[in-house]
Amino acid sequence: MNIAVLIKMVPDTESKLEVNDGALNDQNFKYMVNPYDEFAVEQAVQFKEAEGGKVTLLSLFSENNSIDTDLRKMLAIGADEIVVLRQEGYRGDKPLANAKTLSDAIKELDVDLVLCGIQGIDYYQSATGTMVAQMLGIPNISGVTNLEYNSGTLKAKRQIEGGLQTVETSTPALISCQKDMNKVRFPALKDIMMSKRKPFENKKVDSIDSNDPITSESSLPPARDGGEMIDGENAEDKVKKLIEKLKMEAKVI
Amino acid sequence: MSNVLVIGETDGSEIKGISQQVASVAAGMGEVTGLVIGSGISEAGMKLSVAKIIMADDTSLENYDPVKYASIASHIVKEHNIETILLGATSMGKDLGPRLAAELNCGYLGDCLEAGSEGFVRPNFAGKVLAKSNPTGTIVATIRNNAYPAGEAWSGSVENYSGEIAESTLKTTDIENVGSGTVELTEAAIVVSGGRGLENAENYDSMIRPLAESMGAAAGASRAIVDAGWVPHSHQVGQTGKTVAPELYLAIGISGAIQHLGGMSGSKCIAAINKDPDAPIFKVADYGIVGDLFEILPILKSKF
Amino acid sequence: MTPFHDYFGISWYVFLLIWSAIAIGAHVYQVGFIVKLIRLGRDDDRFNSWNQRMKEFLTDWLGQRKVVEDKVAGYAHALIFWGFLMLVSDVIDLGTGGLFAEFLGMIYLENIWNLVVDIGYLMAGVGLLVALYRRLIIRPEKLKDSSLEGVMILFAILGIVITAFIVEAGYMLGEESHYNYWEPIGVLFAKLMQDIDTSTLQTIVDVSYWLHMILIGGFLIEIPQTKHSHLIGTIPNVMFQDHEKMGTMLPLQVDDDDLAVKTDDLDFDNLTLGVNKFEDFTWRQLSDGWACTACARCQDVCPAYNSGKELNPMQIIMDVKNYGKEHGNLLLAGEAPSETIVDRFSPEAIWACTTCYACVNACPVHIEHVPKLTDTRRHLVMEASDFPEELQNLFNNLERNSNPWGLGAHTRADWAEGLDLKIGEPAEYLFYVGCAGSFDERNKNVSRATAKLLKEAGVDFSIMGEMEMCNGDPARRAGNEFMFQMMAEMNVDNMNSLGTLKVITACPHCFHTIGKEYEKYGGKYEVYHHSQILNELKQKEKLKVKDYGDKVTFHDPCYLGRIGGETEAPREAIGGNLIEMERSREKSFCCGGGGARIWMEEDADKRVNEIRAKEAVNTGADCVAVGCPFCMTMMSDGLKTLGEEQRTVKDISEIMLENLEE
Repeated sequence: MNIAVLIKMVPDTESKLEVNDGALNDQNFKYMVNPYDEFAVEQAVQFKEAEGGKVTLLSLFSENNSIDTDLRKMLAIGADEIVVLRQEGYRGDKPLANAKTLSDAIKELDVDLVLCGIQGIDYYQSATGTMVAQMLGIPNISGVTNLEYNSGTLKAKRQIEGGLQTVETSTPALISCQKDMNKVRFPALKDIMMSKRKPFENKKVDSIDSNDPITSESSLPPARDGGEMIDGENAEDKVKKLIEKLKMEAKVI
Repeated sequence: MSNVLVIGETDGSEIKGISQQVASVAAGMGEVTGLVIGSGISEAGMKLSVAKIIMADDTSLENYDPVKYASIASHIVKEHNIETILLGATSMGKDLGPRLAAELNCGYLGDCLEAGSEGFVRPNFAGKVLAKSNPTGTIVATIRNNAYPAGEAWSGSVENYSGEIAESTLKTTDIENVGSGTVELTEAAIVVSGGRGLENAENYDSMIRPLAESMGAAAGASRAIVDAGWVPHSHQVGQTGKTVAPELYLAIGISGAIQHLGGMSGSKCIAAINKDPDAPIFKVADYGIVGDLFEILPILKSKF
Repeated sequence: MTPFHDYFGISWYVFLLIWSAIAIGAHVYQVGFIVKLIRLGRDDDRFNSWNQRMKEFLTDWLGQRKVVEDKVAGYAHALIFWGFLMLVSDVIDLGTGGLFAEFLGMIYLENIWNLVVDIGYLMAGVGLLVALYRRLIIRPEKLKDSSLEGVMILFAILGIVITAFIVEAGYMLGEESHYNYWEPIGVLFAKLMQDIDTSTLQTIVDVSYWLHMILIGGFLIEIPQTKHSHLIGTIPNVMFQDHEKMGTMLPLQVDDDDLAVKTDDLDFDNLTLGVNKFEDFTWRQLSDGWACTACARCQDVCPAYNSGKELNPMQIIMDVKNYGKEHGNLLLAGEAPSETIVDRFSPEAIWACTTCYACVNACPVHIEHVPKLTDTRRHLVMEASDFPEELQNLFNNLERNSNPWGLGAHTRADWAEGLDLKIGEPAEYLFYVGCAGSFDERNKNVSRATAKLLKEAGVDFSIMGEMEMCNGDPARRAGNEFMFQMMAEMNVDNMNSLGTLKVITACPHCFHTIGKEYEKYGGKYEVYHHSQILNELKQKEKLKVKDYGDKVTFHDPCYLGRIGGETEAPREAIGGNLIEMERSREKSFCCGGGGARIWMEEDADKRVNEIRAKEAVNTGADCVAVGCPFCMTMMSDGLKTLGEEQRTVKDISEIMLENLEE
C-alpha cells in the first residue's frame, strides 16, 4: 500500500506571538512538524510495516526557511521519502489554495491512502485535508482515533459528539488523524542517521490565486498584565466576576 | 443582504442547540434557508429557527457522510444562489464545511467566534491570536458553540429535497455512545483540575468531577493527588503526566509547581482558585481568585 | 616434632605435590577463564600516570584507605588483609618442609621472619574473630539475608590460622621442648599442649598440618568462584582506578587529543551506542565484577535502593560477574547469549539511578557503578528507543525550546526584567542561569537574589539571555548522548563567541557539566558555583551579611558536594545557626532529582525526597538551605508530603540577600 502523508510545518507552540499594525509578526518563528501530522506518519509507517509499500511525505512551505531537521525526523520514524513543495508567498491560512497545490502533487503519486493530521496548530481550520479529498474525488474520514486496514478496506473510528462513529470505506481515501491515535515512536539514533540517506526533494511550485478569505486584521486577546486577581465582596461576587471575564473578555466559555 | 444557508443538525429527536445559535447568527445576514439532512429527522428538523427549510430525509442519509452531504448542500447552494453557508462547528460541521467549500471552490472560515456584516473573527494559535476577515464572494463558515444565543424553535415552510445524492463508498457500521460526561483530557476545550487544596479524594469526586461535567470539561489533577491515590494517573496533568492546551484551564487548589505548569502552560486562558495568595499558579494565571475553594466551588457549579 | 614424614609408607611430599597440583591447577585455570572474559571488553587506556597509580595503590590497596572508613568491618578486614600479607610466605615454608626457614636462617632473617609471620597470624586471627562476631552476634541489617557461605569461609580461614599455630607449637615440642620466643603465639600454644603425650601430639600436628594445607588449597580453588575473587580482582581495580573527574561521562567518540569527535564527524558505522552486550563494556568495567566483595556499602548509601526501587548497585556489579560466569563459554566462543545485559540489569533498575555517585564514593575498591547504568541508558535511548515515556517529552522540549519544560525559549530572560543586567555582552563573569533559574517561578527568585548580590558587590557580569540553552545534563544522564553533544557544541560556540572565561551558576548540574564536561567539546572555563563567589565576596566584606538567625540545615547537592568537591563555601556563606543532618558533605544523601530522575515518574511510596526531607526535619531546623534548583523542588515537595510546610526551603543566595546589611 502506497501512502502519502501531508505534513504542515507550523510555528513552535511556544513561539512568541506579536502583532504589529494588525498583522502577525512571523519573522522569528521556528517551525516544527505539526504534532497531529506525526500521528499520521506513525500510522502510515505501521501500515507499511504490515502491508509493505511506500510512505511519501508531502509538505508545502515557503521558499525560505530551513525546515529539514525536524522533517527528517519523520523519515527517521520510518517514512521513505520527502517532497517539499516550495511556493513563493505560501501562507498557512489559505486552505483552499494549499489543498489545490497539494492535491495536484498527490495526483502525480500513485497512492492508495492519504493521511494527514486533523488540523494545524497554527490556524486550526481543519480544512485542508478534507478539501484535498474533495479535489481528488475520494472520500474522507476526519478526526480518526483508530484506524485499521484489512485487504483494501479501511475501518476508522472518528470522534463525534458524545461518542465514536465507526466508518468503513474502500481505498483510495483520505483520513485525518486525531491526537493520541497512536503512540509516535522516538527514532533511535541509527534511524536518525540512516534518514540522512533517504530522498529529500525540494520542488518549486507556482503560486496560485484562490478564493481564500484574507485576514484583514490580527489581534491579541486583551492583555492581562501578569494575570488579574479578582476581588469581590464575597465568594458569590468573585465567582460572578470571574464568569463574566471568562465569557466576555477571554471568550473561553 | 445575501442569501444564507444554515445547515442544521439534529440529535434524532431534537434540533441541536448549536444549529439554533447558527440560525440566529444567520438571521442578521440576509434571507435564510435551512437545510437539515438525515433519516427520520423531519419533525426535529422543522424546529430550526429559519423561515424556509429544505429537508433531505432519506434512509441512506442516516449517518453523516461527507460525500453525500456535501453533494446535497452544493446542489442547494447552486440552485438558490446562496452566498453564505453557515454550520455549527461540530464534528460534522468542521468536516462538511471545508468539503463543501472545496466543492464550491469558495472560501472557508472554521470555528468562528463572531460572524456577521462586520466580518468574521476566528481564533488562531489555540486562541492566542484572533484573526478577522471580511470575505467577499461565497463563503462557508462554521460557528463555535455558545458564541451566540440560540434562536427559538420555529416552524417555517418545509420543502423536501429531491435532487441527486452522490454515491459514496463510506459506510457507517457503528455508533458507540461513550457518554457526554467523559471528555478526553488532551482534547477537551475546558479542563478543570484539582490539587491538594481539596484535602481528600471524596472532595475531588464530589466537587471537581461534577463541575467538570456540567461545564462539558475534562477533569484533571496535579501530581500530588495522583500520588496520594485520590485519582488515577490518567488524570495527571504535568511533566510526567499529560500535556494539555485547552481554551480554559481551571486550576483549583493547585499551587502550580513547574512540573505541573509544564503540562498546561499552553492553555489559552488559565484561571486559578487557591487560598494562598503567594501560590506560583497565580503567576501564570490570567484570572485568580484567592479564597476558600469549599465556599467558591458550589457557587461556581451553580452557574453551569 | 614435624609433620614431615612418611604416611602409609609414602613420603609426605608426594601427597603434598599431588594436592598442590590439583589446587594450583584449578586456581590458574579458573583465573585464566576470568581474565579471558575481562579481555572481551573494549579498550580503555588507563596505562598511564604510573607514579600516581602506584601511590594510589599503596594507600588504597595496601593502606586500605577506604576500607577502614567502616570502623568495625573495615579494621577487621584490614587486620586479616595485613595479617595475610605478613604470613603468606609461611605457606612456602610449610610446603617445603622448613627449607624456607632454613634458607632465611643462613641470611640471619629467620627470627625476624618468624616474628612477622606469628604477628601476621595473630592479626588475621583477631580480625577473623571480630568479623565472626559481627556476622553472628551483631548481625547488621544488610547481612541478614546473606548466605552461610561468608561464615563458613571465615571459619575455614580461622582454621588455617589455628592449625598454623598448632604446627608451630609442634616444632617446639618433642623429646625435649625448645621454646622459640620469636614465635610468641606458637610458644603460647606449645605451653598449652606440652602435657599431651607424644603420640597424640604427633597425630594432632599431622592432622593440623594436612588440614592447614587442605584449607589453603581449597581456598585457592574457591577464590575465583566467589566474592573472594576480590583478592585478585581488586589489584587491577585499584591500580587502574578512574582518573577522570568524578561524574564526568565519556563522549561517544574521542580523537587523538582525547577531545570529542564533533557530531558531524562521528563515524556511526564503527560506533557502539551504549551497552547491551557483555563485550560493550570496557575491560575495566568488567573487572569490577570480580573486585566486588559484596560489602554492601554501595547498597547502604544508594537513594534508589533505600527508597524501595528495583536498583541495587551491588547487584548490578554482581550481575556483570554472574552474567560473565553463566554465559562465559558462549561469550568466549563469540556468540551472543539470548539474555542481554539490559535484561540482566532490568530496565527498572537502569532508570532508577539518580547518578548521585554515593555508591562509587562508598566503594573501597573503586568500582564504577554509575557508568554501567548510564551506558545501558545510552543503549536504551539511542539504539533501542525504549525508555520511559516521560522522557520523550523531555527530549522534545529540549530540542525545540532548549529547556526541559518546553516553555518558550524567548521567555528565558524574563526573570531579569527590571534588574538592568548586561545581556549577551562580554563581561568578566558569565552568569549561566540555567533552565530552572530561568523558567521556574520558585527558582527565578534564586536567580534574582544572586544577580542582586553580585550587583551589590560590584561584580562585572552578564547573562546570555535568549542565547542561553540548557547545558544538556538532563539529556546526557538520560542516555541521549547525541542530543547532549549537539547542545554542548552549540553552547560552547555561544559562550566562546562572548569570550567567556569565567562562569557563575546557581545550578550544580550546570556547574558540573560546563565546568568538567564541556572541556572535551572545546569549552574551557573556570566555573564557580554561586555559593563560592558569594562566600568570597562575603569574606572580603564586599557583601556584609549578618548571620542567619533561624536554625538552618544545609542539604549538600550531590553535584556540588560529593561530585563537585565543594562543601565548605555554602556553609560559610550561610553562616550562623547551622545544624548538620546525619548525612552531610560528601556523604550527603541525594534529593532524588539527579540523573534526569526529576523528569521521570516516581511511585508515591518510593520517594527519595521524603527520606531526605525526614532527615532535615530531624535536625529541628526551621529552614532547609539548598544550593540546587532540583533540590529546591524535591525538598519543598518532600516537606509538603510530610506535612512540614512550616519549614522553609531557601537557596543560599536568598538567605544571604535577606540578611544583607544595609
